[in-house]
Amino acid sequence: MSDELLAVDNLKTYYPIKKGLLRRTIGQVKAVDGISFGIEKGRTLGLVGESGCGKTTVARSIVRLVPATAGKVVFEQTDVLSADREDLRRLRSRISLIFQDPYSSLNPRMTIGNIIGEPLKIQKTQRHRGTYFEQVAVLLSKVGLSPGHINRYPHEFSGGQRQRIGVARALALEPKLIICDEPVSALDVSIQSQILNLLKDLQEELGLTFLFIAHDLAVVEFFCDVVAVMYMGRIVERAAAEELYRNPLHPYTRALISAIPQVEQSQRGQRTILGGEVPSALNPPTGCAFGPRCPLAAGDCLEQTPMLKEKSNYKGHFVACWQLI
Amino acid sequence: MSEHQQIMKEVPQPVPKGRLRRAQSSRSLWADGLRRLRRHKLAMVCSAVIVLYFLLAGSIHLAELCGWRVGPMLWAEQVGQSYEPPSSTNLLGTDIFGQSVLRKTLYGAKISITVVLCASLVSIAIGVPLGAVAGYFRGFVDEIIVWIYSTLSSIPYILLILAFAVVLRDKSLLGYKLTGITAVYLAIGLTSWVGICRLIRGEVIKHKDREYVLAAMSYGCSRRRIIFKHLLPNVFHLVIIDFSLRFVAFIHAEVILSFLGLGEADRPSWGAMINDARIELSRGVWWQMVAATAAIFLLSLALNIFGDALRDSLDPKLTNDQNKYE
Repeated sequence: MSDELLAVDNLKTYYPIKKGLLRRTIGQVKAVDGISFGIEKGRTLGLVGESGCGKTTVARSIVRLVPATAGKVVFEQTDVLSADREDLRRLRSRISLIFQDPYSSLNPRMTIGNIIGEPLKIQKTQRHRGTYFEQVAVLLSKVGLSPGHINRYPHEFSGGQRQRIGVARALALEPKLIICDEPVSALDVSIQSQILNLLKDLQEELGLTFLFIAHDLAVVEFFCDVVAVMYMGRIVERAAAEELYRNPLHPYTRALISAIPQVEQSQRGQRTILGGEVPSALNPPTGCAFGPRCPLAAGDCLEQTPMLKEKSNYKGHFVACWQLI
Repeated sequence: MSEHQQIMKEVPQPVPKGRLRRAQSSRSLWADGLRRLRRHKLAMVCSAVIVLYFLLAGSIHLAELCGWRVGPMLWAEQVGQSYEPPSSTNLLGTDIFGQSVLRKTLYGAKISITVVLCASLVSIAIGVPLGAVAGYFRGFVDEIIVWIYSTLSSIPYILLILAFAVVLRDKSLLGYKLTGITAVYLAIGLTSWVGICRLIRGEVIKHKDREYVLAAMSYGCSRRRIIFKHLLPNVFHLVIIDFSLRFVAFIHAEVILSFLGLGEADRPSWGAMINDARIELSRGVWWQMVAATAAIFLLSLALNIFGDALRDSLDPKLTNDQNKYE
């Protein structure tokens, strides 16, 4: 475990629900409810799950954009969640984020040069060579944009180009870890592949580690080494990408994978159709969160929450299901 | 795919040194905005008009300090009969005391401009930071600020200004004694920040959860920098628009207060002149009102057009800037 760049241990993020004149907390939404994973240096972990399952909250909790309720996040031997102001500032120069919506993630009133260069100004790092503008120009050409664009405003660019600008900003401080929060889901398919290829090339060139959040399973299969599947704030299955796609164990993962569109008739398997709907996060079911929709559910499933455990005979394949362990 | 190819084609070209150097010279939103504004001819004419008004007001202040007795400073002098219509000797005629309406109008610029300037500065200085802080931090701070401005705005406007003006009168602030009219300026500013505070707060709430703000936080931007460098530039156009519209209300407030005897009732102001005109109009004496109204109208028009152009020039989306790489 020593080569893990980021280790997340039992992370919980609850959002309080406040009501009334006195803003009393009347309940909480368990957006992230006990998640653990680790990412090795230079590797990519994919976090998948449907909308509202807590993927983005995981990303934001790791860099403390939202306060975590409990748990531990260790990045390069530093505990992120208990870091003081100065440590946090330093940490934030080594973890950067790429956001989902390239239309709202760039300040409309700042030029590209200022957007990309601001992290450099704030962190006042000395390790960079050349002047501020040379650095910005280098970053721009690294992501495939012309350095001549330095004085333009975000609205003058297309979605794909904007996302490249977002990538350049994320690279500015030469981070170790980049958290990509659905970096391609707002782009159309041909642009998606450009951005993914760019990220892959950069990973090779700079030895980056990615936490890659997505809801598109095909994208994750292409991009990630390890994949974790989330459902209602918990990881239900985690395995190497190849293993997970070839041999999904958890009924939820199976349903998800059977829903990937296939071109070849022969590759189309039996489509698993899930009944019911995702339960309200305000009032989650007892036991396994997936229980009410699960075709295998029986006995324990509706009473106790299953833990993520390594399945015997399947090395490195973790699953949280009473019926499979 | 074409975009990709196009981008790839652009990459290998080295940036010409000159272009990069020029790129370094003008980069901020304000510099870009000013450059665009300078190309807007009508806005430039309007800003010239505004500057003239300010110069006039400034020179009257200066003349008053130095005790010069020239031009509009001689407004109290009797130049003709009562209610003389405009003629070649008295361009805008005379009022009931035979004083020159032209001189009174020019002199009136002093009070009106000072009111607008002071009230704007005071209310921007209070309203903008409070609104931004309330919107950004929410929670307890927000509740308090909202409570304060809700309370203030529930009190009738005139009553509130009167109360402030009476309280502030003859108090000293920073070692400077507040006379009647200064108290009025301050009072108008102290009561008019509510609107702008509310606007800024709402707009900041809208913007603060946008991803660009999160991005700024994620690379370690301080809260102060986020508010001033990221949020305020995105909401500041509201301040400009709000003030080009509110300016007339400031002049009116001064008129009303002067009428109620709290201002500088013994000196000419546009408000006082219009007030006099109420009675005069029934006698067919129109020149005093026309002079004061025209003075207000011209300034108001210039401020509105200029404010609008300034707003547009500060919005990068609304420019079609051909000379980006000039």
